[in-house]
Amino acid sequence: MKRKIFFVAILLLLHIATFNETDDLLLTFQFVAQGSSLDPFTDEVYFPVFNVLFNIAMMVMFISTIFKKISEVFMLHTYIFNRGGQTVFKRALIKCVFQKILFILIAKSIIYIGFFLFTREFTVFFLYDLLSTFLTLGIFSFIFILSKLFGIKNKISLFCIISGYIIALILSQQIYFFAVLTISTVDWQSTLIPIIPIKIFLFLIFGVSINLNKKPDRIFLGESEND
Amino acid sequence: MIKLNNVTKTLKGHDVVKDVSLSFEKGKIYLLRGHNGCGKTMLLRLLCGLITPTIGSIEKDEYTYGVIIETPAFVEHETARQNLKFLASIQKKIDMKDIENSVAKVNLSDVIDKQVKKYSLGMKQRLSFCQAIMEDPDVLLLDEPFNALDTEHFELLVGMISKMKEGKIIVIAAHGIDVEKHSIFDQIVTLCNGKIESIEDCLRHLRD
Repeated sequence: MKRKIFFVAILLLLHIATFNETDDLLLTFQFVAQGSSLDPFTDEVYFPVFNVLFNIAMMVMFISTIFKKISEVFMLHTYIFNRGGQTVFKRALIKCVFQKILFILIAKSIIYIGFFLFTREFTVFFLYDLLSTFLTLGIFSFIFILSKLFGIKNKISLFCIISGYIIALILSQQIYFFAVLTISTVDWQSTLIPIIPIKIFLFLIFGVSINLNKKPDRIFLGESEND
Repeated sequence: MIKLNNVTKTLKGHDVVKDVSLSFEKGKIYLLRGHNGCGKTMLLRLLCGLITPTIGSIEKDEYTYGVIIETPAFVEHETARQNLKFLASIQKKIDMKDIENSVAKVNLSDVIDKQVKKYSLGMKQRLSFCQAIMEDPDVLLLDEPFNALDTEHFELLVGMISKMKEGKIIVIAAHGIDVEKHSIFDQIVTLCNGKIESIEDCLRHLRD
């Protein structure tokens, strides 16, 4: 419980600390999700370093929470595998991913509701953010599971995923297609239609790929290969 | 019965198990022994289906398995109770009372709510043994189950294994175990470089 409260507290701090020059407190959510800010006089979007860093920090926090749980399930792989085979093992992995994503969505919702109560206003971005967070974290989690099923080391896959996210975050500010790998991007309202279906497509593709991987040898021959 | 027919497992062009034919029957305890790297663990992995043979086949009935393979691996920041509860939730065959009974058998009742990271290696080994036996499986595959155990707990586990053999296939991979002193084994299989060097019926072994 302590860890969960700590997680929500850090998330709240990230939101409060986000640089927001406008008077609209609800825009903070967009600024965290995009790593951006808005000039209140010219209405131009720009990218202060702090907001980009907060965005990356938030993503690292989310990813590490989910990946830690996935690694724990992999730690018990021999015991799980012997109790129900591959199907049960994969089900346990996917279940833990959904549980952790649900926890993150609840944490986000708590902060949103707090802001809504404080400002007595509502932003539609809340719904987009929850859907996009679910799909984006789902895609990254499935990529991580696949990399572990292929016997790739945690550090390597973690490095690739986080680097990929940072690159996508920077490029998405110019080329909206890269928002497929980020939670949000500038002009999310106008890019919502192409981005969300692509995210759903990737989510399903990676999800199905996990089920198609039928060779368990790589998982079980990780540590010692010839004893 | 589990039957291995001319099983070979090749990894990176190297045969780690070579042309092994063996059969394991219920009600017997088997000892796999041999030097480090001789293929004991790989044979256990093949027996429980964690890996598949490159050549040959394995015939087996529908069994439930309890295994210890390699070093005990648990979620370290969780308690023994949480770890075992999670594993028990997969088959849903036992409840918390059964888990507690199994933990009591390996003398870990007083530390069941401690984080696993605070356990010594011997305690982790007993916890690992506990997770293997808690659902009363048909087949027990134990890879070096006596590692890091003190004499008291070594004797405890040996006693438990010998009492459990009725209706079960028990295969233990261990090196350096005194088979004269601990005559619980029905058959001793000695491996060398992935091949079977000898299969000894235990009564004959003791007579010799």
